[in-house]
Amino acid sequence: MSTSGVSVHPDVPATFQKLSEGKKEFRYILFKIQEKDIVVEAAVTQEELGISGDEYEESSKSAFEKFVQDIKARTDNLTDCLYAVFDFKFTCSRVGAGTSKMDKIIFLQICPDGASIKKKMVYASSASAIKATLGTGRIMPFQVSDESELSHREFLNQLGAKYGDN
Amino acid sequence: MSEFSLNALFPSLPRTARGTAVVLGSTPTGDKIQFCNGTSVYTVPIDNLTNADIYTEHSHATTVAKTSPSGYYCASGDIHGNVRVWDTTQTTHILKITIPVFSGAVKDIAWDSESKRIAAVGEGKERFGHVFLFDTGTSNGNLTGQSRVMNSVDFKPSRPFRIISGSDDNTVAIFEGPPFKFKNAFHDHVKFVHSTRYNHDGSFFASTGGDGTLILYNGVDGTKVATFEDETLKGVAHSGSVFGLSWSPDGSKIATASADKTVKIWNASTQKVEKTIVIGTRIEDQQLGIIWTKKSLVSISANGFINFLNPELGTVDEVRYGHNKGITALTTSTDGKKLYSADAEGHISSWEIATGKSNRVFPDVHTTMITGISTTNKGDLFTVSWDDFLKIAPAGGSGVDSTKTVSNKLSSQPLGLAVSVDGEVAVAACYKHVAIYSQGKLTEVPINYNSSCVALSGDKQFVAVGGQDSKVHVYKLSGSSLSEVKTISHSAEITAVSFSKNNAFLVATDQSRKVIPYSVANNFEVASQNSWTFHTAKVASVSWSPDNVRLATGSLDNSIIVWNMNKASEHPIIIKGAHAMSSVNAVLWLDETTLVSAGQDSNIKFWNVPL
Repeated sequence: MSTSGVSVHPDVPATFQKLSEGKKEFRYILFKIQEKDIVVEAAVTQEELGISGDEYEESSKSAFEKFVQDIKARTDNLTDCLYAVFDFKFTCSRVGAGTSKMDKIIFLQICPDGASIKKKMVYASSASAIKATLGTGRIMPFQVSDESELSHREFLNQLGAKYGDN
Repeated sequence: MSEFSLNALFPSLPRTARGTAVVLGSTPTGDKIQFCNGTSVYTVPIDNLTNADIYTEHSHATTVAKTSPSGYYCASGDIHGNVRVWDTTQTTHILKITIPVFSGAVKDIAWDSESKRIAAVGEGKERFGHVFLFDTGTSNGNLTGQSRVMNSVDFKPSRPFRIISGSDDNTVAIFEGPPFKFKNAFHDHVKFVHSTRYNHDGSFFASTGGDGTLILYNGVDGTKVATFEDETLKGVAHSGSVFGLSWSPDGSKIATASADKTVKIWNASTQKVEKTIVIGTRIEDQQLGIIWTKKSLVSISANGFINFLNPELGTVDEVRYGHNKGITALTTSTDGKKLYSADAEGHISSWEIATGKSNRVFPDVHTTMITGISTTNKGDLFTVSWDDFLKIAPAGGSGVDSTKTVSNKLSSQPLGLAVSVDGEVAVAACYKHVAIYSQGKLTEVPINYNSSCVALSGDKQFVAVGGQDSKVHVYKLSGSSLSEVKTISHSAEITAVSFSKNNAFLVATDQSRKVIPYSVANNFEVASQNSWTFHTAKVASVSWSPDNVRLATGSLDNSIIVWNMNKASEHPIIIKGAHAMSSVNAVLWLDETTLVSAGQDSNIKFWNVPL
């Protein structure tokens, strides 16, 4: 339960709906804390990413790289905090079901070691509020504190471990 | 003809907790209100004090119940997030569907105007709200968008449909549907939002909460229309948290219930106070819930009292007292017109048996569980409690005057009380001694076992003390000294003892379910050839009928059994599930055919058991 006093702006769930439901307009969304509110920093559509082809085949590798680049740009090369959600399309093999295409939303709480202690604390203590607002059942949460934890393979392995049946 | 019938029922009060809103439901006609206590849902008529419908199928503590606008179904929620939808038209209450909506307590339930959809909100882990179709349980949207526990939910009663909810994250959210999706959230409150409600036609909704403000919104898009303000306060509606709001049936007024111990009636179009109803000045007078039905305006006090309010005059018409904790002891006045009941929190209520009118003995005599209560023919009330006092509240006013209570400190915990009819002698069975109160003097006789219950014969000759050592110790009483004349062994701890009114029999019950009558004249030999073990759990209480022929016992197995001394070999009359899901803590005969019982469920029931 968030007790930081930070509240979630109504745009946050509204924007997230456009990523998780219906036409899935957005591919990823970045959120930041501004004053006493969690607000939308950027929402990027599939078109803006400019990626075509079968994303399941390559498990969103190129989209994810663009996503990471954007995070780095907006956090001044990982010296600021951010929340992010990314629509992760991937394939994994399951016993009896063969390979299946999957679509999972990951939530990143990005608190790099290089950020100020105060920011890290505010972001950590407000994370439960935004996760609850988005609906904890619909996202898979991750914590990121340095660049190595932002690698595509890392996420793919964890998603595979959870949803696959290796 | 049936062996027994339920004559009357004095229902429990709603469960309350300070600082927590009580959400009330009502039938569409507005002649009954619904609330929860224990694992039950109570549907209580507003114009009848001696009747109620009790739904007892929940396996966990219930929190909220709402009847559909059609009136055919009721949805009730419990502390583990289960919502049960059940039929209201038959007394068996056939279950339509049960749905686990989330993992925590359900705090509010709403039906849509078509009686098709149900929204439930509360303290889930993964989500705080769920909306589903009542007949199939299929999801009808999702109510995520608020970051903390959702406290209140309501459907817009007209198309286009909306759902509004109030949350501990200080926001009011609006969802569009069906299927329902988050539309917007409003940050107008600065503290928890406790209640959000639509008016009758869906043109407006109002919200209120911990900051004492009452805000009016446009019903379709949630644009803020106005803030209600009490001119005597700065910018707010109440000087305390507001726990509930309810629109008048015609939508012209709003009633709010607040921790500032008042109910206020507001004019919805001018946003001004019309009436301020001050309920009291004590903490127990804080108002935790309110509902304005077509027939009445009802609010709930922090101690569970149900207040019937007059919105025109701004007065309290009627208050229903009673209990919302387990009733532990019962006694009647000598004339048989009044009933006193005592509960596990030390409160005593008095009841007019004929009408069901209730009152609370105030100030409270005890501070904790009362284990014995008895009246005398002078109208004095003797009580013993876990606060280790034997207290005597003298007759006064229309009942007893507890401001003039005489207190006698006991040196160990009292577990039972027996008082002679004239009030000359009172005997309290305490953990380590037997206390005898006679002519204003308390004498404590130490015992070498732990007692559990006590009985005094009507002629003041004998005292029978039931022990946790599985023995009944019978003493001869002379003055304030006891001499043991007989020890009767049982196979388990004695739970209740009683002398018959003609002093011919002593009955003892025990934890191994046995009910055994003994003959006083025959040196306390067993007076019945048959073993009376029809209870399926510990026997908790026993009472002799005035004609000395029948015995009633109440048990932990929820049932009451009526035994007949003249027909000892016949099957007794068993009232199964007399207090469903609850122990029967006290039974008492009012006359030869009328039995009154009270249970852990806080209900008092009157049974007719014909000879």
